[in-house]
Amino acid sequence: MFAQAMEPGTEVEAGYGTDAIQFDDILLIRMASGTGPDHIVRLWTNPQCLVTTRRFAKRAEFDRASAASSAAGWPVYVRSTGGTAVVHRPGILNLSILNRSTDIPLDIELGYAALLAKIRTGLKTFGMDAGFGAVEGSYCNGRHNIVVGGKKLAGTAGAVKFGRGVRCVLAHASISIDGSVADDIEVITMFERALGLSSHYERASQTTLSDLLAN
Amino acid sequence: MVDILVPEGLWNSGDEAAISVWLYEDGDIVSEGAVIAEIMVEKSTFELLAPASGALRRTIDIEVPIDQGAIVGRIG
Repeated sequence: MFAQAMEPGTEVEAGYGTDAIQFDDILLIRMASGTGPDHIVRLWTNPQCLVTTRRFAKRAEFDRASAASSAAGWPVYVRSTGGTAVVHRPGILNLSILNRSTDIPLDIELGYAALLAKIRTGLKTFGMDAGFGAVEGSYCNGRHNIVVGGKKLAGTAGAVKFGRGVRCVLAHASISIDGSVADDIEVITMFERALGLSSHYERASQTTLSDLLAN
Repeated sequence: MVDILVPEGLWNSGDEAAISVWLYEDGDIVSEGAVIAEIMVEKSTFELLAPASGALRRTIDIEVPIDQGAIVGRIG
């Protein structure tokens, strides 16, 4: 219902691991080559995994931390957008929006604004609204978190790619629909600490759509 | 030698940016237009393209704050 409210008529793709994650990059590369539409919206899910960035993947402890996470049932994949580490799993809905423009002012801020607009449209169905904001204590924190009632509902990240005379922007969001935020935090914390980081996150900083509807 | 400049106008000037990954080592031969590094600003990534073909000389490390328009390397 929430997915259909955000983007009516769009099927939610059932992704599988790294292919689902890399498909955003494939679409971005295709867009930058000048082929296909100027605007793409993608709704997708993924089996449980950790998704991190090239920045983390370059750390000396990455291979060992990834192996440990994978052994615990959370394979680790790398995305092209920024940030730190997030979880994908049943109960988390991913929204990707890609835009291409020949106008130089098309910038990453517009990509994030488009994510917020779609999520607000979906939340309106439930009589709720959202805004941007950093939330202290949340994992993969950033000022473009999607926030409801002071708690992070979705994390966002983006990438800009240039083609011949075009600029393409990918912005994607991982929206917590249901499931255990505490468990998500535990998995991410273990991985990041294995990377040598002193990560500490607060359960109270994040929420799910199910939690919001129950309160 | 051609300077490798951080692009301007892609993100808010007040945001902190850094090269998060160099995709080539010092001395590697790169082609003009190749993506040679990734710049991260908050949770957004931007490609740094080689302005010319030749041997890459990196003059700034990863995770060091950089300004728009700054020189981060040379090719030639």
